[in-house]
Amino acid sequence: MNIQQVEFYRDGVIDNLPVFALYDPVGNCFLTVLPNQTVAQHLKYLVSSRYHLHVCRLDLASNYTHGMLTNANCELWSLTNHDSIAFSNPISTDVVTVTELTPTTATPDYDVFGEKLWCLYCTHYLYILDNEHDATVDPFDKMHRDYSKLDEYLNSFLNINSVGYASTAVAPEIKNKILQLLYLYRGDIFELDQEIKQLL
Amino acid sequence: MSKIIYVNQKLLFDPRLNELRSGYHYNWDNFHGITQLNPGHDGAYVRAGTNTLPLRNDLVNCLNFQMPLYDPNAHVSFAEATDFRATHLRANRFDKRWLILWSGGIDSMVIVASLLKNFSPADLANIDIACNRISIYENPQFYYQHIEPNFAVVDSNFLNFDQLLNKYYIIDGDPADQLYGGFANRSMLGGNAILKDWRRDPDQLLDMLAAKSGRAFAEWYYETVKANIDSVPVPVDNYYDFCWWIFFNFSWCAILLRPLQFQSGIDSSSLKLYFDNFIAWYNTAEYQQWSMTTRLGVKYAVNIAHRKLASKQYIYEFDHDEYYYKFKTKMESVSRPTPNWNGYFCILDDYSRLTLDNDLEQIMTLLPDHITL
Repeated sequence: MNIQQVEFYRDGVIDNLPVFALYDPVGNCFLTVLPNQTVAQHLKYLVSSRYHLHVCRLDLASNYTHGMLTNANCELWSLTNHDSIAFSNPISTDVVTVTELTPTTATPDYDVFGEKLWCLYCTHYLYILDNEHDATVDPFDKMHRDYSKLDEYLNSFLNINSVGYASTAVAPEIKNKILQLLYLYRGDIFELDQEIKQLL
Repeated sequence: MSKIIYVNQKLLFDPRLNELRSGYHYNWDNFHGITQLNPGHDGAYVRAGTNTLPLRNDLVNCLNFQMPLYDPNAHVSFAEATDFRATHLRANRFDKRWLILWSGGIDSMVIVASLLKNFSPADLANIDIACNRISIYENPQFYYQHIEPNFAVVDSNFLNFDQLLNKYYIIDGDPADQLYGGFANRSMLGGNAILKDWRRDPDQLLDMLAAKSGRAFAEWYYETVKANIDSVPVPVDNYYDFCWWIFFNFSWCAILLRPLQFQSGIDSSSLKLYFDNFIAWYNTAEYQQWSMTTRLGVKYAVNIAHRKLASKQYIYEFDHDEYYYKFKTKMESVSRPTPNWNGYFCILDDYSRLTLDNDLEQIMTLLPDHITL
């Protein structure tokens, strides 16, 4: 299967946005790439029931060039400044700035493709559940989402029910149910997807 | 007259003892540097080989902290040592309830896996699990699949240590770090570094020690440990072995006394309560013999996920969780409030404890006999 052909695939790299990645110290490689720090940090927590990944920023590396590293090939890359990774504190969400990218020769003892797919899948739903967005092309769309996030936060404690708003946010109880599924699930990804789509 | 058998190493550097320390021609700063190797415990007492540190090590015999004689022909496996520990405790210490301190980490996971493997449902009903939410986050699959259905759970955020010692045998996962490679379990990712010969190629090891307590300390400590290692028949070959040995030989005593910091009482009955009712799971001759006779490929491998390898294999054989087996790495335990962290300075051979605030004069009288310089 070509990973770029799956429904929820994204390159993880967008012009003029920073490039974050989650680094796996066991495989000594990046398992996923994405342009949103908040989603990267939530993703780290969400997949922590499987493995502890470290949030890195790639685009400040001395040899980084746009497009050299995407979700199509990120498992082939590592960093040279391993000392910056807090191995003894794998739950830290501090962002490690990669000083130099290097091809990795590691051959991880696990299904790298399957775990990349899982990270992409979780990322896809985190964008939806966190009401996050990266594209800034359509100003109307951006403003609508910004208002939606404002409403999501404020009405979580104001609880105004007398008037509504056409928010893009997922209802909290549905969001929690989906996050629980993603956190604990170990089975077939496409079966899970059917279940989540029904919830949404 | 009583004598000191244990000194809290960090408190030895209290300013009130400056004059006493300066009476010796000894670089106490180097000795203090040992406390920086691992923030959780000291490493001031030598169990085997030449005592190359300045404190008298009577506690090894007084408190039953001996290291078994090295037997290169001993072939006990980790699983055998674990199953034996479970069944032996079941036969001898089951007259009241057990409370297992479960963090979700590898060491306490082995304990719970062994209970589930070896005990009947009726036996499991006599056992409670103490944990908090962070424990569940460390291994949620195991919690939901094996702990919640089989045990009563006690919130470890609100434990009263002294009360619990009256009600339970409390069992924790120490001193597992001492059986393995200590801080080598969570550092030196470069991998192959752990296999370097520490005698012929010590530079990277010295750098690692220097990063913790400075270059002068690193060089002094390296020579101090080397003199000790050269006096024992136990093979200590590579960097991982070196780290293992300093934990196994020098930190064993301190780690077994560490829970005392959570006791509010410091009289002799408090210490007896602790020794009678607190069980450090890995404190057995079988585990120690295993630890001395196993190395690369059994105890550890190069990849950072293969530290504490035998423990992970034991867990995997029970729960078949490939993610825990392939990805779990060493994490620090959640820090707990330590009301008595700096409370007592030393333990005497009558099991009472002295504090610098209340017993300074007695300490000044007794301490010189505890120093071997």
